[in-house]
Amino acid sequence: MAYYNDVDSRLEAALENLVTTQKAVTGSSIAGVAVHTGLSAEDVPEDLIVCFAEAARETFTGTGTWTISCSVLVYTSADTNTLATHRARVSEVRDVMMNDGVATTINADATEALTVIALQGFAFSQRVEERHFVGDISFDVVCYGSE
Amino acid sequence: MATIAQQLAEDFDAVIADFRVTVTIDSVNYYGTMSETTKGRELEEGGMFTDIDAIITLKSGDFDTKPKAGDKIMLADCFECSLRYEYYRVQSVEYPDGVTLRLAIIGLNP
Repeated sequence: MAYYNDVDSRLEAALENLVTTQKAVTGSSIAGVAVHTGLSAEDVPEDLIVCFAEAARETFTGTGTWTISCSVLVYTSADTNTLATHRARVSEVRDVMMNDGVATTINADATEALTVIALQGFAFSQRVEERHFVGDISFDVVCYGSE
Repeated sequence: MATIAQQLAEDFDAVIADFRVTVTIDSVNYYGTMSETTKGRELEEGGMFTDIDAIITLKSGDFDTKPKAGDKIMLADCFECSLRYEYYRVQSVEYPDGVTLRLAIIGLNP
């Protein structure tokens, strides 16, 4: 049974699906990079993209419409990759998330019962963390459970 | 009379004889020993991080080019069976005397 308000985990999975689909595009710079959701029990490899729905708040009380704060984090080992490789990966993921049709694409994802109204409030940050380059793409998603 | 360096080398050889590890760096095997090993698994955003820390001590003179932080190594043989055939990243290299060098290593997930 699917629960109507399980929007954050559905969104994480939908974002993971988006990035995974992008990996299969010919010439993709993220082709060899693992993609995990924020809450995951999988082993973490050196290079990783994490799709994390960090927090959700109901936008209009009682409507079941949520604004979910998300981050997509691109971790690239500085020991095995150049900075140029990392920047290419981050740029590619940014374009996936900021594509005009991204809400439509998520809504067409039959595996996740979620309706996205908008992705908005994008912000970028970057840092280094334990010998990794890290690119952080954060944004809000306004959405509701579909069934 | 043996020099201090020779005595250190002989002492280290005795340790290797009992607690030997084989470390593969750039397809070349080196022999040494291991200490201060801790193993764990930390759950963080994105999944489970392998948390293996160890100190590998090797003969400095065995190397034409010394290992450096960031190098990827494999333990081809180890008295601690669960660490064999696994890959590790060198975190730091210490030169405590004229004979040995110590590698602080962390585990890598596959």
